[in-house]
Amino acid sequence: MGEYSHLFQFFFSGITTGSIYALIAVSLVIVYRVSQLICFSQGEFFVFGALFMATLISKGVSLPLAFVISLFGSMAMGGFLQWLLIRRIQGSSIGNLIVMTIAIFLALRGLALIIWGRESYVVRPFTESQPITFMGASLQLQVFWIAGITVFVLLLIWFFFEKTMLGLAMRACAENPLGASLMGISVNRAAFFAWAWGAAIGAIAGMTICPLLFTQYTSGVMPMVKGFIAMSIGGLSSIMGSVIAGLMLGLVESYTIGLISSKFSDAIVFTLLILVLLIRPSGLFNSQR
Amino acid sequence: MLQIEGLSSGYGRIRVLKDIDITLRKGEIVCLLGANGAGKSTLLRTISGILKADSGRVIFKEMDITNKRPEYIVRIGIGHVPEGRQIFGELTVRQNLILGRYCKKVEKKEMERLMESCFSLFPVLKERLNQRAGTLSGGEQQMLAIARALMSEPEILLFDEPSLGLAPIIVDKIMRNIRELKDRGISILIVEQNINAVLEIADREYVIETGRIVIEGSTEMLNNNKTIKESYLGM
Repeated sequence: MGEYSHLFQFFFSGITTGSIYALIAVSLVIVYRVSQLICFSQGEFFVFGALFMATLISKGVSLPLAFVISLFGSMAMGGFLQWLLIRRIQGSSIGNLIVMTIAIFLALRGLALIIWGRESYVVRPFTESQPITFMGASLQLQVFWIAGITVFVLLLIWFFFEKTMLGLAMRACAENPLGASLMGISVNRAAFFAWAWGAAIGAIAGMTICPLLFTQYTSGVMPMVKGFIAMSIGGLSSIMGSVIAGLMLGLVESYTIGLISSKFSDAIVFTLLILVLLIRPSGLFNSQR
Repeated sequence: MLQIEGLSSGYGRIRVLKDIDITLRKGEIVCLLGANGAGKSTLLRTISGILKADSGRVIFKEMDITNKRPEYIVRIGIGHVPEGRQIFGELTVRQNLILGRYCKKVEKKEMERLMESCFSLFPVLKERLNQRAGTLSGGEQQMLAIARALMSEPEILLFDEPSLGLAPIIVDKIMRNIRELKDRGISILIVEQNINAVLEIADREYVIETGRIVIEGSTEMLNNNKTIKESYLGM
């Protein structure tokens, strides 16, 4: 059992980080699909979600309530930024738009530093209990929360984009903006919601991992980079692809850390990206275009 | 029904349309003829609010609708079947139709009724309901584009080159369908390069050349005037 229990341990820690990468990647894909724009500020919603929840809890707000408030706060922030900044320069070159998202990223990071300082925050696990032992691996219950919430969010996204009028309209905008406008769909409005949903999902990632990860104002960078890699491997516009790629990245990282060395984990992940981009530039899971 | 007065419009600083006057009366099929790049699509896009007019007015039932947003134009009853169809290929036929009704909220039952009314015109769409629109044939996609526009229950439909890329036999069918729409009381403004096909159904024509109306007349007049046919329409 001895050797194998390690492999299980790595598997679960891989699924945990992988879920987070998958969520960030999905939040990027949602914005990308509607606006053809990679939103480099997405990692900051991860930080704001987590830190805002931590602050609320430290002020005595119950955990579920803090989760919900922080979720809606982030959603509002995402929509507001789209309305305030992105919409004004809509129609200018894609380069300008990307630089704007980088500017938003830096500004939000600065804002987080002003609000929360350099300290790291952690919140209590969603269910407080001893780690359980499964096949010789010791598991935090939070792992199940993370996996469960990820699955729930993905189902919700599926439902939204398949069954609701607004979700269909957003897909229509992504695929054919001209056709969509002629149906009376406002492309601006779709982009607004994409930003709001994207921010909310980023915040969910930050909040669910917060009990396992000390979060501070700089914590958004790595998840953002990894989410972006997952998105690229998944083919930029595929939700399914980026989820699979995100989980894969998490697993590769975790096994590399466990079996080789933590020094190599980032190098291997980036090598993976280079290989995918060289061999299949459109991503592993891209069926369209 | 629809009155266009002294309309000028274009892309950025490039003026494509210059001082256009067009009238569409209730229950008419009016056709705009002209070569590629004459400004026909530009006109339809300006009416639909996709492009901004530089000057002039668009009047619909005594309302000035110049430079209103596309959402507004669809809602008040002007549908647009765009050039190249512009259907949503990744979505199913049903989802495409549902989006055709995005502009005005309806109950589920009413949505079904609207779809049935589309199927009475295009029965093939009913068979393809849950298929991805991108897998339809060219003719079926054109039917879907028309059906999608019908979902908003328009009083006026703008058609941009509905025959483009279709086999002659399908073109005839589409033209018959457009004729049926007229019988259902919809007024139609159609842009077409396939002159023979469209003269079969149109009541009046405008010939547009480099952004200006050069000839205006009934189908009968056009058919009887050899000079016009030769010099402007290349027939």
